[in-house]
Amino acid sequence: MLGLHIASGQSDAISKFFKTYEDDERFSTVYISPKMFQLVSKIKINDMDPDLQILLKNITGLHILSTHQTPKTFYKEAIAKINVKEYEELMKMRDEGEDVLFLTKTTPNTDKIEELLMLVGGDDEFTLVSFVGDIDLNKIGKLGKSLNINGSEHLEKIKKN
Amino acid sequence: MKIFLLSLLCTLGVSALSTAQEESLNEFKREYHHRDGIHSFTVPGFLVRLAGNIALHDEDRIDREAIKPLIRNIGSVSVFISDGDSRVDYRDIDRLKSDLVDEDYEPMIKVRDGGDDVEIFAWSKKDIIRRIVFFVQDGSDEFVLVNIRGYFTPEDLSDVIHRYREGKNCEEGRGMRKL
Repeated sequence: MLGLHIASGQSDAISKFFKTYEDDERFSTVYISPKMFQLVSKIKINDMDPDLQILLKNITGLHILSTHQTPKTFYKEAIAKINVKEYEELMKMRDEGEDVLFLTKTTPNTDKIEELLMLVGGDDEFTLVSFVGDIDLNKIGKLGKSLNINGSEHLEKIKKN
Repeated sequence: MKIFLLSLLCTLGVSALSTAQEESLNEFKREYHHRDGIHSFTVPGFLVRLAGNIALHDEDRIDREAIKPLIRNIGSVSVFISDGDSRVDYRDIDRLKSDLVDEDYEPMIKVRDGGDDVEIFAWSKKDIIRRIVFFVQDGSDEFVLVNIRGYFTPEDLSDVIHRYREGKNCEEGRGMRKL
């Protein structure tokens, strides 16, 4: 039941991917619930970047999965499981030996991005990050500096066309 | 007499609320508390405040000042520990989490790193958190369950962040003056 709760907002294949590995000891996982984001958005921090505050208000869930074991294999496995009908490739790059792929899922018949997926596969680590909510691509880069996770610096490279 | 009856009714009302939100937690503790290797205790709020002041020494001054707004609103803390000799069945832990969700607790954060697992649930009413439950499992089968009762508003959390930042800025300012 809890697993279903956690998976809400994500498409089947990716939520299955998270589900498969969330109890696997080779992986580290972090899940931050909509309620937590709702709470954080109500906390007033005077010198916080207003864009970051708006961004936090609009994010309803964050799920991170990472491992140091056979990172390239897991990177390929995750890509193979992504439903290309649901996710659109936003950006693909190779940076210092790391493959980075950003995908977005939009609300049908709108330009609204409801999920941003970031996949990072390097020699040392594989990371899969899913942001769920009303995602503003022009502001998501500001999270790059705040999140202390592998590959978060790549978020700063995202800009809406 | 009227005041006495009213107070009694209020007390019973608060107790009923407290029981309703802790039914599954109490059931879980009842199931395990008599077993060897299980330690369970409750610390009242005033002792938590006292312990907080003693535990954080002068060098932790910034931390102590920062967490004051949170500590002062703690009603009590219940701790349940099972050491490696007395394993808690992971199915019972999963059932407890599921029961907490049925009792309107909401999952807040879940972190798993290697064999260590930390999960936080909260029960709130109108943005005021009244209960926080921590599940901590480590790879060596040790399990800790902490239940904090209190009254935590977003303003309290803002206050913690401001105090922490102000403390850090003052420290940095003093450090700069010494240069």
